[in-house]
Amino acid sequence: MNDRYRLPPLREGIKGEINWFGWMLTVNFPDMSGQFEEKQRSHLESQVPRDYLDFSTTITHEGIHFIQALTASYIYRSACRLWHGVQEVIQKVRLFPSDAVITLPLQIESSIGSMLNQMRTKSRNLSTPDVPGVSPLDVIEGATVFITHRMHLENMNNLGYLQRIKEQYSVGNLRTYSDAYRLAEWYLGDDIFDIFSVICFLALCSQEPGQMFCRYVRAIGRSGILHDHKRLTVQEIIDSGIAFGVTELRTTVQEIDTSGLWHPILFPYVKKVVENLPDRFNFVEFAARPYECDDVKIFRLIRPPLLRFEGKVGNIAPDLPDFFSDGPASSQKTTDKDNANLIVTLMAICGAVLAMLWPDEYYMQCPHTNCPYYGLRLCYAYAPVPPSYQECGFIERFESVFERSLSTVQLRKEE
Amino acid sequence: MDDLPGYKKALRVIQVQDEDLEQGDISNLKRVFERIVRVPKHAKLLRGNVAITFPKYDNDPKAIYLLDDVRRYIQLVDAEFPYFLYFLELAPELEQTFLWTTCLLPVTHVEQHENKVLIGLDSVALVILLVERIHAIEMFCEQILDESTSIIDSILKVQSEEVAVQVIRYLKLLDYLENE
Repeated sequence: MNDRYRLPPLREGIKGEINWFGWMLTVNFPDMSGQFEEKQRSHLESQVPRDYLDFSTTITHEGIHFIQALTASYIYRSACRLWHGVQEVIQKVRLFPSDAVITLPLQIESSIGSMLNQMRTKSRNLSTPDVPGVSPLDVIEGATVFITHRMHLENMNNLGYLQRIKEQYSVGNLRTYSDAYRLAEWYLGDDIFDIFSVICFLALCSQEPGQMFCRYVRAIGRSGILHDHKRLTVQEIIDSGIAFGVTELRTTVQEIDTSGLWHPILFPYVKKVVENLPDRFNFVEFAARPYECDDVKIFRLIRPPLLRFEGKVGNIAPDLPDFFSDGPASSQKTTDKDNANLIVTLMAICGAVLAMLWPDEYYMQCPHTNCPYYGLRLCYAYAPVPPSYQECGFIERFESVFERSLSTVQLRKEE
Repeated sequence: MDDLPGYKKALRVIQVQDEDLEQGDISNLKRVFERIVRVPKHAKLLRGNVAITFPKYDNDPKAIYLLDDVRRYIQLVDAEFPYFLYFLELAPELEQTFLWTTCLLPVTHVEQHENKVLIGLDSVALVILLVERIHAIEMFCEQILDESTSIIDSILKVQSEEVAVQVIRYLKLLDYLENE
């Protein structure tokens, strides 16, 4: 990205996010990138300034999502489906006459909406008076919050964790960060503390993580294995599941080998990670309990492709894989700039597709309200905001992908 | 509290108050256990960790399972919590299974033999009682997501082989019928 471009903060109240299209990690804090690597695994909260702790845990949280995508098939598959859904929409838009006016929202069939709904749909296999069920998103976020806490607060126990999620994640939509843990803890008590992230990981290796999570909680409870043995390995938990008919699990690598699903960012990453893991490294055990890994090299190997800080240009991971070598259109020589451009374009275009299907739901980080296309809000996911709208790279990218002028797109007026 | 060594293993002794025993009033016990059984993790903490005693008869040489007020009290608890054996410490030396089953069945004959009391129970009634209670424990374990096999083993371990075999046979039949 160009050094002249500044990156404004995310929407107020959002500490960070990772984009499921380009997998760029954005952190909404003053630039602390210089301190990051030395203090990433700070152990004692009392020794670390509050701002830094928030910053650090936010990066960890979003980074865990990236680890999940590289290791658990559900997230990889979902990212691929989103990517295919976007491509379908692009194809349909291209079929419109190039000079015809397109009004938003697009009136075309898309699989993206149902997929996103499915992620939020709770399986009601198990419930408690307080938790009506568990959705795939509950498993994803529940695992991520849990792993983040265990990475940063090594002396925490079940009661401490319950207290934290009660304080931070017990209201409204925030419950998606704690419902899975609270449900499992309701049935299994404090024994859940040493196996929660494993159950989540295995559930995320299935087709229906919400349902599978409940099945694992049931299987482990009914097996009685925790009465005598608290710290189960991943394999022991898999075996408990098998005894109760739980099969059909796939890691991301197995998903790629079996289905051949391809994602422009994640696929090269998975390949790079697998090729560079140390001999005899247990990747599954790592994926299930990343907080037990002390090897910084492993975390460096699987950090997201781009880190973005408020007011600072993007920080490209120094060892980006070559996104173009295995893609449908491979190039002769690829630079980091090409790779970063691909991420930025992918995010911008995928974001535009979502905004065309569901207009007005996106936070505009761009301050250039005098831009003729500002009202469309299609560019909300375009990361580098230019000094002036005339220098913006979004329009060119949009027109090249959709094969039509941005001026042919209009928002339907509310009646 | 959970971090204290041996916390989960500590035996909880329920001492039934004389007044409750005499009046056949189980409300104190019921109030506590109704709260416990509502939360699976709490129920599991008490699994096999409870013993029930009657201080009124601590110094009485009589066999307590033959005393009317004790039998009535156990019968009332059992009617409310048919899976109560789940909570009882089933080690043979504590005789909790014996106390429970004997209080729930008619005693066919009693024989005083030196310092021991020998009693007779209807073996068919005992088998039926055990099948029903074990089934209730299985249902309760299903509800709170716990394992029931080891509890069933402990209950059957103190029975005669003949009774145990018949109970298992009935349980398998019950399982078959439920799954059909």
